[in-house]
Amino acid sequence: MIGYGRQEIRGDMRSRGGTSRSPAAGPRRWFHRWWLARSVRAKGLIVVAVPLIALVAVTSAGLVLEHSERQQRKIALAASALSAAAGQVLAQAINAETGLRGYAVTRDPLFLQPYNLGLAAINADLGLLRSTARQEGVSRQAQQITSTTNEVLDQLAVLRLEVRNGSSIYALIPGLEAQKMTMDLLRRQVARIAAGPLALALPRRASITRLEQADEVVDIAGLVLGLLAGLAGVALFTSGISRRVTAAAANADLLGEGRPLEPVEPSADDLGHLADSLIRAGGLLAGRAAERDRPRLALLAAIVDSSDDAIVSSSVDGLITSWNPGAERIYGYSADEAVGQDTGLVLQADVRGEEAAVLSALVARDGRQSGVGSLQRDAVQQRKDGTSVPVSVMLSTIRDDKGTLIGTSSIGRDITEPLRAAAELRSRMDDLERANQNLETFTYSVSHDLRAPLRSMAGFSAALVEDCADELGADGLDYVARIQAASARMAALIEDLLHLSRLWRTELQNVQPVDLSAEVSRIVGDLRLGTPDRTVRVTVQDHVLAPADPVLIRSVLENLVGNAWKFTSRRDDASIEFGTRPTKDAAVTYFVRDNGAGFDPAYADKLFAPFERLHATSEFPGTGVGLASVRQIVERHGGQVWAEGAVGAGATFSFTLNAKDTS
Amino acid sequence: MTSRSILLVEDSPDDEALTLRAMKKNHIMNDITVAHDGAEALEFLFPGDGAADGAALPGLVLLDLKLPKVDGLEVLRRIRADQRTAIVPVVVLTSSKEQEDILDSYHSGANGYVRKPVTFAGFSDAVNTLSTFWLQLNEEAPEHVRTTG
Repeated sequence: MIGYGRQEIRGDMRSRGGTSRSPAAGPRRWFHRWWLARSVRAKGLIVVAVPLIALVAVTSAGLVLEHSERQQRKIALAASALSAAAGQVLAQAINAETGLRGYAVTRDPLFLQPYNLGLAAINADLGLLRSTARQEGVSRQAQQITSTTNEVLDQLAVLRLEVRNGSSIYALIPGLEAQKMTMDLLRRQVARIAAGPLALALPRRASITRLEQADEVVDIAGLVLGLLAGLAGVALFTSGISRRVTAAAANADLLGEGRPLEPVEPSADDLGHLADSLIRAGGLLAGRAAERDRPRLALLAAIVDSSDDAIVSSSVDGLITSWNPGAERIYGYSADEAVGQDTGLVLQADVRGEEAAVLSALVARDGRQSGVGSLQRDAVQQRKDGTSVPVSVMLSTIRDDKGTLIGTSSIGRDITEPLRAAAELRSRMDDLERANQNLETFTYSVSHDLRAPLRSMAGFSAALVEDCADELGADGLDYVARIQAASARMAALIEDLLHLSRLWRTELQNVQPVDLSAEVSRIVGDLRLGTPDRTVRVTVQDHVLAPADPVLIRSVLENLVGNAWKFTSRRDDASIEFGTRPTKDAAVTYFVRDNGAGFDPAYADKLFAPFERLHATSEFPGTGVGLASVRQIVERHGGQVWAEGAVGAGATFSFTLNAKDTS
Repeated sequence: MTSRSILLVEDSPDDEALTLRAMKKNHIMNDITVAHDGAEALEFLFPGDGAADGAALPGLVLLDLKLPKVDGLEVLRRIRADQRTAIVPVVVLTSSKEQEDILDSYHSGANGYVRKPVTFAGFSDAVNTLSTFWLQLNEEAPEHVRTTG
């Protein structure tokens, strides 16, 4: 299916040739083949030569005809000139004869005038006749006329002398008769020489007419022939060259796109070679593609076979055409059982119609566009044993390389386990949610309910001291004091616990730019008021603004600055610094640094856990909840908090904030 | 002035004892009636069908919120709903600092909200301040307004 080979096309052409060999088609086929076998140059020459030859032939024929027509006209003209010249000679001779006869009868020399005129002109006329006759090749006849004319003139001259000498008319008769006979001879000769050209001229005129007609016919024929030959040339060019060049170009495009080539008529000319080369190239490419595809196809088959998913293909009419081992495992049907069955095999009866609708909707889409030819859906399907199995199905249309739909494929995954896992996850999430809520409620109510007994402990131990101090003695009072201290510490713990639980529950709502510098200065002011005997050098960077919840961020700063204040209490040169420093990712890091007691970095991660303390309460008082709520608040703001320090070398608490301004 | 009594609504015997001790320490000599749950408090305020007569009405009610049977907020609402007791000063004295409780109390007509301090000193101060303010400093409503509403 990948490409047509040259051999197939040859075979195809032969079989077509065999069926169409009818008598009428024979010559035409022969010509067709002959024409195809000519090279493009020869075809070009033929295409140009055919009308050219026709034109040359017609023009030549016209020229030949015209030439012979001119000849005929010339001949006819010459013939009439000869006849005229001969007639002129005869007329002059007759003039001379007439004049002499008048003189002989009247004896009046006046009548000799025509005679003299004839004598005077006749020699010139004879010269003209002879020259004309020489041109016409009838000099002998002209010579005869000349000599006869001279004889007539001689006889007339003798008769004139006799008349002048007074001979009687009767004595003249023999001379006259002889002269008349010569004259008759001349007449005949003239008639003959005139008749000759006339005999020639008449048929020539006919042939001129014929030639003229032939000329016209040739002209028309030439026109028609030229036109036809031109048309034939155009037709041959179109059928023999343009069409095939177009076909070759189309095939070249197909080759470029890697699609199968259209078959071409075999021919021996250059275009045929070109077309054949394209077909051969297509065949080679297809062969190489097949060669190249073989391991790929084997790989694809292995992938399909080894897949745990059910990979099933079906024909356009909904019959299963392939069924992989994954499908066997999921549905329980073997490939032999399933192939050839309707795809409804694994569909539950109530969704068969729905499935068909999904499929037809899918088929209606244009599968050429990527992603559009597929459709994902989850469905409960049926195994061979009748049990149901939840399957996530990816339906796709299968199209050949021309885009024609040839079937559908479905890749089904058994989602029993993912569904179970998702349900379990959901249930665990619910449990967690519930537990979280319980914890919050618990924390809250515990912290309340714990206060009541605390109050009793504190209250009655105070009553004990007040009312029974004497009975208690020094030791007893000391014990009561410890109970009171413990109660107070527990009260503080409960306060912090409440605070923390409130943080867990509240959402970040009121984010606005807060002047952290001003907050720190205010906190330091309060601390100074609380412990007026301390000397602490405090450095606060000016105008540090950050988007934050003002109440919460104040709590953060109170904790951090308060810690710094607390942990520097044993130093005379106590120093606390608040400021910012830029970080790699353009976010700002805020820090509170002190030169106080510091901490062991090995326990840095414990600092922020609730109730974790790195120092004894007796050393530095505190509940261990402050930093836990700092972390809680900073993380609520999308930031991070961390601590650096060493025992006796101070501590630096840094944090980032990444809250969206909601004001 | 000293004749006006205090109604302490408190279910915890310890808190009751501490409150009474604080009163004594602070020399508050007013009569103190203790109701141990909401029902008892209502019974005291509204004995039988009618309310306590004018003279029997307390000058101050110290009301805990978490009470058996009828809780503090309900007691407060009943006090405010009845025109005879509508203007009796009621101060909520409780362990809770929850905003919801504070808001509910004020909405239900509490005149004050005090969180019981843990230390006795603090607690004693609070009881003293409250009693002094409501029973001595604060001017009570005239008698006829109290009875006619």
